[in-house]
Amino acid sequence: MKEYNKMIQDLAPKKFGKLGQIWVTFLVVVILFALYAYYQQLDKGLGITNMRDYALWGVYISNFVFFVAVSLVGSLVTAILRLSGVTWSTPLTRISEVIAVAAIVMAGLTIIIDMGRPERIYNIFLHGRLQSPIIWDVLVITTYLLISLLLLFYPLLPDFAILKKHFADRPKLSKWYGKLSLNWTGSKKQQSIYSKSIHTLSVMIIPVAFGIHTVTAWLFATTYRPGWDSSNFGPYFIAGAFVAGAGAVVVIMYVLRKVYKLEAYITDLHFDKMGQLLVLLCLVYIYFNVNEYLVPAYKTTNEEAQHLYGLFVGDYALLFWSVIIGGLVVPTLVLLFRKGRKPLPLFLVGILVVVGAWWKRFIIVTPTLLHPFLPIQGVPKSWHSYFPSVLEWTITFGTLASALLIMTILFRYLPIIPIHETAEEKGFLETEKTETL
Amino acid sequence: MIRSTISCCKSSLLIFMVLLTFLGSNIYGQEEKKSLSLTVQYIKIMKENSFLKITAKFKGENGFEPCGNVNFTVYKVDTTDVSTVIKIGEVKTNKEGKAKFIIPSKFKTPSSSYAVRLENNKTFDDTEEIVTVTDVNIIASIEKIDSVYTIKARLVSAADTPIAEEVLKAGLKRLFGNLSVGGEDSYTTDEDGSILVPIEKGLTGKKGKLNFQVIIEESEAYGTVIANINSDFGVPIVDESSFDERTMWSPPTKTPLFLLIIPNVILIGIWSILLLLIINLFKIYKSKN
Repeated sequence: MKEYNKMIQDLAPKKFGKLGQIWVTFLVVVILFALYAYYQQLDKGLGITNMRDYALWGVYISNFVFFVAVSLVGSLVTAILRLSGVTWSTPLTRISEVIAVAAIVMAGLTIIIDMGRPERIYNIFLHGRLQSPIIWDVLVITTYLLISLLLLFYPLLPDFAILKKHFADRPKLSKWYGKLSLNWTGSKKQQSIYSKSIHTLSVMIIPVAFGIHTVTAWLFATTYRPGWDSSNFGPYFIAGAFVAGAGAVVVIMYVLRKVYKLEAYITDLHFDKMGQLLVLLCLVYIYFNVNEYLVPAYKTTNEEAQHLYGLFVGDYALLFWSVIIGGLVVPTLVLLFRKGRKPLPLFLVGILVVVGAWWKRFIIVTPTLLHPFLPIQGVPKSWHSYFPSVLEWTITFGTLASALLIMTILFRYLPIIPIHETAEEKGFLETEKTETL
Repeated sequence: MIRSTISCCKSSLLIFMVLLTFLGSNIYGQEEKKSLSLTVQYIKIMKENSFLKITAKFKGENGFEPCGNVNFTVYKVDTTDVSTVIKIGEVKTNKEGKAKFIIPSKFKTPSSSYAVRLENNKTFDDTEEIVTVTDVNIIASIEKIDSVYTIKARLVSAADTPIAEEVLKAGLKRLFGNLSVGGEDSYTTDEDGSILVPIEKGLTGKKGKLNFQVIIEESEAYGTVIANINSDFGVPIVDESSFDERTMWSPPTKTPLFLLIIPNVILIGIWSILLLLIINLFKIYKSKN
């Protein structure tokens, strides 16, 4: 019983410390700057960006693809590992679910940011054509958002009931947790509905998660352009998404463990296991990359050759090789060794993977747009290249800060590690029942 | 004395200036009439009518501009005495400065002159344009010669005398002009005033209908004469438009059925389960014991 109480004490949400307050202030300031930049964009139009006739998709769409990719981690850690009977992932499920919700919310908002006239968004629903992959994306993102919210909320029900009791000395907070627990008492009927619902969600989120990123890949693959014209794009994007998502989990679990002193719950074993998972995912993604670049390079049609030249030795070479080597090869090599999977090295590798994953989306989107099959006539030379404007960067950083702020707020009020599940795994609940009897 | 002289000078100067002002304004107010460029073409369509195609332009600020809404008078001129004219009608130009005057049949003669005049117009100078034409006929038909469809056309005078060494054009009428047939741009009539134009196979038309034309084009002596020949041996055009079909490029109302059914079945399936899961939350809420 003592151990159980100590666990609740350890895992119950805690107020922000000084560092936490500085962190939230920093994020709010970045978001305010971004809001100002977005106001400029609304006022003056997309002309304030560096997107032109050639690069009609820029940093916003790269960022959108990145968010969608990261959101897939909810299905990986929560659903795939849960259904595979993996027990070590329990402390990581909440982290990955929160990341998934924050990322998918921001993915949806980023698409709106990319619109020149966002007030006309209702036309997508009024006049949307099911023939268009963009409509498929709208439908699948909405569905995935609801599933992610449910998958975050369901496992929280017993935890909310525990927190209601725990915060009894703070009536207002306790009342809120009580309301959110939906009268959870752990009765047989509740347990039965709860287990079935979580199982259904875990099964359902996998095809929908695959759907969301496959459809995002099809936004590109169904457009006939060098670099995108591939039947391999769906699995290629999913493999890359799992790498980005796993990288994000590794980084955030390290930070949360440090800040909230969760060393007893997120142990070296979890880092080792996540490291093993990440190296496997990196290897699969490297395999898909080889496919994506080697086959067109072998065929060397004029347009593909021009595109690949730009990536391998041209304007984008530094970025391309940094992403491939820094974001994939080096992490793989480091993670092959046990020492590389220790918390700090894994955290550093995680950062490399996440940053690499972000830039990877940039080099998937932009260089292709600069090499269309039909050259655009009569445009200034500056339109032949693209690098985001300061305002574009400000808005983009604002979206990243918003995702982090959503996570920070959720981690402030939700238990980072599922209390009920952990207690069940450690057998505390049995002891508690026996002691009560 | 000096004072009265100065006063007299002042009054004279005032009168002079007032006069100058009035006279000046009068001179300034008299606008100059603009000159007009007038073109008149004689066109005869066999078995239909003959008409004058009138085009009027003037040189404005932006180059030549159409001279619209202007009345012209048409006269028949006596070919023996040019000063004798009979008014046969009036015509008004449209916004594009064009007008069509159908010549009444009672004024047609084997050789005719027509004068188109702009008279007493406030804006434009009086203008006249005369066309003189000899009436000729093109008798055209399509015959099958050696199993090849051939246009047979004969150019004759009003008295049915063949006219040789005259250039005729043969074409198939299309939306924006004529498609030349027979492989030549033009054909010269022989001693019998005839031409033969073989028609290529495979010409297409709506329901196989083809409208050929044999034309004398803007001849100085005869004007423009057109003979139409209608036939129905063309290859019928099959409408390949997919406008009414359900295609990948149709509007939302014409989405292909497979795309309408499969995604909607999947969506309804998933959202039904999600609805059940939300209902499950209510069930949990209601069943605390």
